[in-house]
Amino acid sequence: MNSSSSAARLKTDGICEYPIQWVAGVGLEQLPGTWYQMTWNRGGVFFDKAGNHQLGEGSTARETLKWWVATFAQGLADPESLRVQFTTSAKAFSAGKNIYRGPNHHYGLNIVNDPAQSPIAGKVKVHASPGDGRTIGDTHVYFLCSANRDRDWAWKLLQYLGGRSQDGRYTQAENLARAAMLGSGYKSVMTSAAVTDGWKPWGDPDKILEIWNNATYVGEICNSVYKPWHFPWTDRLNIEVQKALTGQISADQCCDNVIAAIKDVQRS
Amino acid sequence: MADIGVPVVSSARKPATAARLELSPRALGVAMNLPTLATLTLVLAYPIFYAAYLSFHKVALAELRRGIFPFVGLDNYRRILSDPLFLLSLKNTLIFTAFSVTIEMVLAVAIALLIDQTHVWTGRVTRFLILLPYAVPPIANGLIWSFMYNFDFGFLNRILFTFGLIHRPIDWIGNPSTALFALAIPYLWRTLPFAILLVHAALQGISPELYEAADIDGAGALRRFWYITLPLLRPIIAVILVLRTSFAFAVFEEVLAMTQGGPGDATWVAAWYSYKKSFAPPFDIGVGAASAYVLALVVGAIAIAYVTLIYRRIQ
Repeated sequence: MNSSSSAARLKTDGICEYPIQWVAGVGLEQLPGTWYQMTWNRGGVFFDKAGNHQLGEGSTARETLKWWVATFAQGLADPESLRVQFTTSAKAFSAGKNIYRGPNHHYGLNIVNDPAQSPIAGKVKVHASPGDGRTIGDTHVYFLCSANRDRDWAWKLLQYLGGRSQDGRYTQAENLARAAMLGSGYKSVMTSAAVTDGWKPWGDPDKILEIWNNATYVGEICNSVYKPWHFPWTDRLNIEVQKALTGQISADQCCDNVIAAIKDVQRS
Repeated sequence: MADIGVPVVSSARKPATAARLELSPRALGVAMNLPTLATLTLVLAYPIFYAAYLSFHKVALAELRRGIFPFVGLDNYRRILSDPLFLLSLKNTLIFTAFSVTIEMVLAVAIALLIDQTHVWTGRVTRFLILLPYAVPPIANGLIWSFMYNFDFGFLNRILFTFGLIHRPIDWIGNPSTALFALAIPYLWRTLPFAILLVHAALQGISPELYEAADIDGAGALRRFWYITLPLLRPIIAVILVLRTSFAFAVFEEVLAMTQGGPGDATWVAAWYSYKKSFAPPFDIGVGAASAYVLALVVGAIAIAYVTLIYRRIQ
């Protein structure tokens, strides 16, 4: 039984009105990231290595979108999905009205499994994506601008945020992992007690690390992230995909519009 | 005799130095106005003219970094006027403004007339309660109404459901055909008190004798409203129309808090477009400034039309 048929069963059996809550709010990562991840999970990409789009007729991205649209058309997906971001989706999910939330690596587990914040605390589990579990993983990085007025202080700030303290630990990264359940690009942090023990109240750290270790950087799926037109194109993508998800246009029209938008934004 | 503080004008000649220092009324007027003029120039005129300057230049992150803004003439204006999303945003803004300003005017006059009834004992409480939404910050207002409209748990659906008016929840801000109007309601809720206050203040200025005379002539409530109240409210209605139209054209906070332009492009309004162009990647500030200027020109034209049409009729 695949995920959409199990969701349909949950609905018809009266277990849940809207079994799926997608993270599909407007944003650079939210709605686009959900489409990227599901496409990647099915073996597709948005652009090949040469930068040619992979959104044409029969493409994995297009077929994935058709499936995604169907979850809304069939009433399996919660309409509120279109307005939730990472944290707000976790808070909405905590209300217990949905069965599945995602695709999402571990954002918000510290909310949905926190008894102080969530009526369903302790009941939410992390599962790998379907099939071979292909997924996307990102770590955010700090930048130091060479045009800083005071380079010495900027360097000190960067060291404070991303560097080691005198005891040799990445103190700030560990604090973020412990307090906000934010992963780190430093392997020593991901294998430290801040993660392996600190995340236990919220999820299964071993499972999360297993998923994390197999994740691919988003640039592999959508290499337009390296291009200056990626952001205005993402704006258009947000609009067109939301139109498709709300039934204003078909998934095919959406993909055609998103393809046309590539040239538009490149021109401008 | 007690000193009653009446200034005494001395007939004695003023000292020569004091006479030299005394400014003429004209010069004194200029001097007294200078601080205000300087402040307004700095906080209003300078940003307005600087935005105009930016709208004719290419200004993005790279240019900001270099500090050199290449002149591009009307290119930014050409770009936005050929962008279907900008034209759609303008259309959405016009619909939003027409809807919200019309409703606001009608409600403001109606509610002001109601709370003007001094014999209604609840009037004072009502006056206080009506002012409350005006104290709510716009972003907070947007968030409050997001909860009101929430598809799964919103109060609005719950109330309608309880009264049997709906059988399934309505996705007020998730449905492209209702989203823009659903966005106008929180905006109205926030801005209506200001309009009510102005109309109510204007009502205080209408002489009761006019109504008494109309009573003697046998005029009913409707005729009194139509031939006395409404004509005398015209100046304030013109003011409210200009103010509310310009503010409605610049609606932003509720969009940011509630829909972020969605679903799709259903609630993309002009100010949201300017914001997205200027302050979201790739930070095309020149294009954002140009779109803000087009918006300002439209608002200016409508304001002139209001003043010309309504004030002319008053005169």
